[in-house]
Amino acid sequence: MTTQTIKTDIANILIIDDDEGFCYMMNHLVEHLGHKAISVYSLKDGLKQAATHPYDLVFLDVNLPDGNGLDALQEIRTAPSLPEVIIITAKGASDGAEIAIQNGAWDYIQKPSTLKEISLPLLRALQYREEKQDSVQPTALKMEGIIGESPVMKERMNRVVQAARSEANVLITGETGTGKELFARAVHENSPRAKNSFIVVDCGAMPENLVESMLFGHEKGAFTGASASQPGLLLQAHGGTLFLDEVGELAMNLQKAFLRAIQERRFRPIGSKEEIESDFRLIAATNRDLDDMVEKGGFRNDLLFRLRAFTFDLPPLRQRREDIWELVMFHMGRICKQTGSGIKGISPDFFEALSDYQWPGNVRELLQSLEMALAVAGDAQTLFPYHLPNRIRINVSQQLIKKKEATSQLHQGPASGRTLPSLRDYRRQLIADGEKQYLEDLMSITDGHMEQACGISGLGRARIYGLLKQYGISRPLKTPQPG
Amino acid sequence: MYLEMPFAKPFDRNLMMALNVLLSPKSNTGKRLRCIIEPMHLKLRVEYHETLADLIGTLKQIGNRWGIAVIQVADRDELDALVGVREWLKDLRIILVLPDHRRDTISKGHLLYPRFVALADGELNHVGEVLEKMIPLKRSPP
Repeated sequence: MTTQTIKTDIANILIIDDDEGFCYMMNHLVEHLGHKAISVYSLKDGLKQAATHPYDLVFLDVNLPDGNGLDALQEIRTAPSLPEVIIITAKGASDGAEIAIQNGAWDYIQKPSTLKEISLPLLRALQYREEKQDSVQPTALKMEGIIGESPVMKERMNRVVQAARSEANVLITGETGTGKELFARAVHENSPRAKNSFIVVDCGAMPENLVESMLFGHEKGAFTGASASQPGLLLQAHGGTLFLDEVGELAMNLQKAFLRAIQERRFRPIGSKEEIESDFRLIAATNRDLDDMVEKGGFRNDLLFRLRAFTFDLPPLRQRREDIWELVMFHMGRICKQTGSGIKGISPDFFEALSDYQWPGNVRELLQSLEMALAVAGDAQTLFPYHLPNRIRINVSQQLIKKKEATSQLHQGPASGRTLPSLRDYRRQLIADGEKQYLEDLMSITDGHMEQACGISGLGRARIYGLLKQYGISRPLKTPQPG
Repeated sequence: MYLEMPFAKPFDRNLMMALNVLLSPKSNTGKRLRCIIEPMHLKLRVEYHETLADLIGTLKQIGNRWGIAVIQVADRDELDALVGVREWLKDLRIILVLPDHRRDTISKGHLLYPRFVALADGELNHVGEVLEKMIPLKRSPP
């Protein structure tokens, strides 16, 4: 995996600011430090520059004549050269800083600043970038099952390298099916611990009464049924990596004991008088909003603090649609090879349907749907939308109709006797349509299972019930499984 | 390979809810596991396999690679064989029943990335409890 950045001692720096005096001063500073600078005075020009030239660092003003710099932060960060971004504004506000940092800005500086105040973060950002480039060893990376060339995926793969070289605890967040376990394995496989075990602890699947003895182990006779002593998963992970999947499901009473174990890498098996040590590296994953859980008292703040020394937020598939083609081709090749069937052709409308669908179940849902389509297609040489599961075809058709309706409404001008709604009303309607569609998808994929729906959506039960009522959506009736 | 509870619709969404079971039906462990898994017949499409070749044969069919698997490992040779074919098992959520608690056996078992590991001479009822918890999880995404 490579980025388009050209590694050089001379860095290319883009300054996006409508204050010409400030731009002049910055250009002077950058050149004095031995780098190259280009200044543009509008967001539009800045986005164009970032998209077409390999910048290492971008200074981005917040209040630009044609828009808010913070709104363009993601687009600039994911430009082909994946530049670092320093936000610089005359109107520093803590909430703006929070948005900027949360969205990956390197720093947030308030004008007017002295040259020293600006040059320090500039040099630090360039140093960080140079080390990051040095750390990327494309030929040595093991990224089994991680497919994607989109900027956002490249950035996450870079983070795998950084995480693999560190011993810090890692927290991987992302919706269900985004590949959290694959990333956890990639961190392990590329780390010095790769020759030792990668131990999975599925907190979501383990009965509450079992978790403690599974994690810490137990002595013979420690409780009813403990007919022999058993080493816990923490000990089995000695020298390797402990992957705590669905960590949000860990019961509160266990969180305290686990916190101590990860702080000290020591713990006491159930029924034992002795503490034992284990040198494990911890990676945790969740699709839940742990900050929200902390606020509601469902997760310990100190444990969350410990878990997220290093974080990954994996993007949902709908935010990296450009990877769908590569995912489909890779996995179709794999499935067809394994099953001994020939590679099939893909009709343009099949691919269009895949691209239009929202994929609430993300990559996992895409792969399962692809496999279903291959199974349904049988001996057919080409995959058509007809081969896709009905729920996807129905959803895509509905989306298409809605899009056409919206387009035709927009194109009907005052000449046809129709007046446009206000932008506010139009926006409100679009949001309502989007929310309704999301909730219908949510109920469909969870079979109305409210706990899962909360987990996926990040909403509380009350809010979901409220929205279902608002949009007149009923939860699917749970029918007994056939057989 | 023998099939329990076949479904009328071959491409029903329950295809995704398959439970593949590899066990030695004549061993005590196999018999105990069978008793534990039988109540799941109402909730899952259960397929029992007596040999690793049977299990892999089923997974080779398109549409069968997703779901849950309970794998009773008869001995260390079979564990080696399983590790050799782990490419086939990567999309399954595996519950592994190991033949002994030797450190190297357990380490090798973890190469299959099991979601739960039980020991043949241990408390096998936990397998049923974990399966019960896994079933609703497998319903999302479809």
